[in-house]
Amino acid sequence: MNGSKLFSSANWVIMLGIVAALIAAQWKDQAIPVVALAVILAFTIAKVRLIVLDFMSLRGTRPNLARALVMWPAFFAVAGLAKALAPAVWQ
Amino acid sequence: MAAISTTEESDEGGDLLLWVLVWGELAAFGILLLGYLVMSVLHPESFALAKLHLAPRLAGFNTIVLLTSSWQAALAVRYQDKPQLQRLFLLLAATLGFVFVALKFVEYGSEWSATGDPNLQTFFELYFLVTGFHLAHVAFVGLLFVFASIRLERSTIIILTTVWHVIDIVWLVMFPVIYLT
Repeated sequence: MNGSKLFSSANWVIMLGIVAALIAAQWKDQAIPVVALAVILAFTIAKVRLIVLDFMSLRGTRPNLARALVMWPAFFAVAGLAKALAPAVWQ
Repeated sequence: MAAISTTEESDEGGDLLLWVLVWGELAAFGILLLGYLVMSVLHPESFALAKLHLAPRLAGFNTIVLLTSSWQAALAVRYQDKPQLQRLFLLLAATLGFVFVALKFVEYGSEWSATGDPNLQTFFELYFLVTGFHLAHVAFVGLLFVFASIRLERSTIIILTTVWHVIDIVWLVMFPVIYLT
């Protein structure tokens, strides 16, 4: 992978991290709204995907392994979101 | 020819070992996070109360620190033909890892006073177990980066950076699951 691609990927990863941290920081002493949580979890999966593909150099080389690695955070993101949504659904 | 075959077999063996290590880490952290999620469903009130004592802003900043460190590790692999640059990026990755550890201890310090409350003990036991296990990984692999920068060896650097990215991925999941959900 060339250096500019890695640089561009790193920029995206860090930018997504900063935006997610800023969103999270808005609700310090109260529960974060489900929509904001969903955005942060989507950013988390996007960040992990970029790390797996470009930082771990799996882009185009091992698609199944890359997919399996992205599935791990995706599972916990869905579980976390389901947990956040559960009280609203039950009530 | 025989030498080439031996090298290829050794590479395949090393590759297999690396991915066994990666999936072993993901399985271990997966079980811990799953346990945390199950307990948070069983004790919603005490977990919600305990989370008020956490410092999500500091944890959010630490996420940026770890992501930047992960990028430096990726650059160390990229510049394997330039030993001085590779050494610099490995040391930068390690330094940012140690910054993460230091900030996490500052965070623990601010949370410590709440651990005495018996209603919050279940949360804090799991919280310190999950984040402490992760923190131990960051500190240990950061130290290994320092040793790797002294004696640059391609296979060692690839194994360490891959494990570093896994530690990074685990934190990226841990941050929203523990601090925000």
